[in-house]
Amino acid sequence: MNSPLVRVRHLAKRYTRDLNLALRYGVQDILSEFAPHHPNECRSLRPHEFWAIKDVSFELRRGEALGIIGPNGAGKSTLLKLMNGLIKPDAGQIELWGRVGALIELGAGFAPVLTGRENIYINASLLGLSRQETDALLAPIIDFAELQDAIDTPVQYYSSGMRLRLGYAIAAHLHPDILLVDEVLAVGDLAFRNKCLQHMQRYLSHGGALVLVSHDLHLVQAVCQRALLLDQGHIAAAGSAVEIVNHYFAHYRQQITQPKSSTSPVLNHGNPVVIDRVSIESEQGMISTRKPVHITLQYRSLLKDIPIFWGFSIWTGDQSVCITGNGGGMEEKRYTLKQGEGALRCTIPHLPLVAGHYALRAQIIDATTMSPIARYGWENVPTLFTVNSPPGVLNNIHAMLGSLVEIETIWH
Amino acid sequence: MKADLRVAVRELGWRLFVRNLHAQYRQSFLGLFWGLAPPLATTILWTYLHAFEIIRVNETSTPYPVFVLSGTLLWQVFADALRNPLRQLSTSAYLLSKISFPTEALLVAGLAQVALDFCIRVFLLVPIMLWFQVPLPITMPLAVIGVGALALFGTSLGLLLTPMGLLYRDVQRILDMGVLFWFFITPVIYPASDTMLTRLNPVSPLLQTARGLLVAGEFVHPVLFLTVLLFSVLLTIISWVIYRVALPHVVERMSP
Repeated sequence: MNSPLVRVRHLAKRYTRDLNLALRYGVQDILSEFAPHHPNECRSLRPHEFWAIKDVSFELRRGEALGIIGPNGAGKSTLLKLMNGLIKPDAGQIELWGRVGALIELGAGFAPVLTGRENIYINASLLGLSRQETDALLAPIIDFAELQDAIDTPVQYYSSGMRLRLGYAIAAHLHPDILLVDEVLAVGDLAFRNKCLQHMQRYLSHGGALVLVSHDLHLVQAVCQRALLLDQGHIAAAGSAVEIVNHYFAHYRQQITQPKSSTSPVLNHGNPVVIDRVSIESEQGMISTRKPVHITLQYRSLLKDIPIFWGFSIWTGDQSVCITGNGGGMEEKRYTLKQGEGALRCTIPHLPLVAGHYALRAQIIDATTMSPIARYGWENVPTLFTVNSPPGVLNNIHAMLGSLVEIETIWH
Repeated sequence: MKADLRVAVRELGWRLFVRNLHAQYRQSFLGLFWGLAPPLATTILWTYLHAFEIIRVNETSTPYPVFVLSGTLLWQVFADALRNPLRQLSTSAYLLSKISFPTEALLVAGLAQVALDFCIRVFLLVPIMLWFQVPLPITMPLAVIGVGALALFGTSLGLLLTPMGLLYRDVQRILDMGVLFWFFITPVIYPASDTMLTRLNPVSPLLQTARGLLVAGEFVHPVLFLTVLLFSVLLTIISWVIYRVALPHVVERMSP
């Protein structure tokens, strides 16, 4: 019961994006198969090749589901195609025990002019079922796909959701030991996605093994216990689904852009005040949600004893959205500018930001004229900082919702 | 595993054949007529050219229209079988990279189509033979052997070219041109002459033997026929091994 159904060891696959080279290498590969001393492993790249999959290893047992996530072009689909035996690895082994069912693309093999019913027979026989076996499954398949009315309509008149339902229903009723599912549920409506989700959970509880490639991290987290994060062909992280989903968000969701110069403006009569540095720090060293942080603004000034306001604003990592900001000096606390070097400080007692990357901007405003006299982070690079939080379901929900702040809530 | 493959190929092959047939005729008004059209057109054309002496061929053993029609429909078996593997696989290319299934089923489905087309055409041949008062020979059912040999030789050659043809379109072009050229160096529309090309052409004995059985009631070139048949069997095995080994590499290059 506990022996693995899937064992993948040191898998590697190389590719090239150059069409002419791809064809030439294809011919080379075919010919080398017939060479007398054909090597089993190819661990080197030819010109213009890259590793689509490199050194990927994992195991999967009965009742286990493995989620595979990663940015586009990370090698997820290639991995599934290798496992399904559609293409051959250049190195490493894949061992599978049991019948494999794969949903690489739903509805591949549907003949558009034929009816749904006819296509069930064709698709089922493509997936290895005999006519008698399909006869028995016909009613449950139609039922699962909710296509009772449309089953004798040519498939070319189906919506993409209907094709998805039919394709999934056929694959779902084949009862494979190992099910490989590539990003296929994207076009389904919510009700059908829930149905598929329930089906996958039932399938797992009956001892099946599942490999799920998806960009739908909610689905991955709901179905899979474990996950792999693939990036440029190698395993960037492996662990529990919750951890990996969290890791993925932390590293890939908000790519920080740095388009501007990092130098401060020169101090002169045109620019009598210059902000040299704005920093955000925590006593623990790491900035975390709900923990206190201190913001320090360091400036140089030619002016003296000028009443000012100063403020900061926190932006998303890509600097497209201002999340919040605050200004000091307008109420009981008063600030005046010192000549030479000086610093302004404030504390946020409970940082409401959820885990992610952020940018910090600041400015100093003349209290009399209400006009800004120095700005930091607009013309030059803002202070970039990262908020960390330990992996957890709540944090992943924040990440999936794309939420930015956490609000204090008293639950009754 | 082997039994598995056999069942899969038989069941799936049949299903794909039926699918192709349905798909073909569901959007067609003339339906089965399209199976008859090519050999009929060829026969009418060459009979016309011959009757008005635009071309001159040696005296044929059977009336010229019967000779041309029987030759054409046998030739068509070879030509269709030759083009079948590459055509089937390239039209189903989208399946190869998405579903793991015995692709031999595609070849079987294609061959079933070739066989069906031939059967339909024989129904055309019989009334024409009667019209020209050619007696139906007793060897007619034996022509199946000849037809089988033509199909096998075509398939073995076509299968050999398939992996390369799926990678490079040039193969398809060469094949199309080659078939046309080959048609004219094979005694389809003229009786066999003893030129070098005819002698070296392995389709010649197959076609002549098959035609002999089909319309003339004679078994010509038995030795050559069996030699080519044996060679076809060997070539089929070799082609199939190469095809099996090459296919994953081809699939990988077709779909990055």
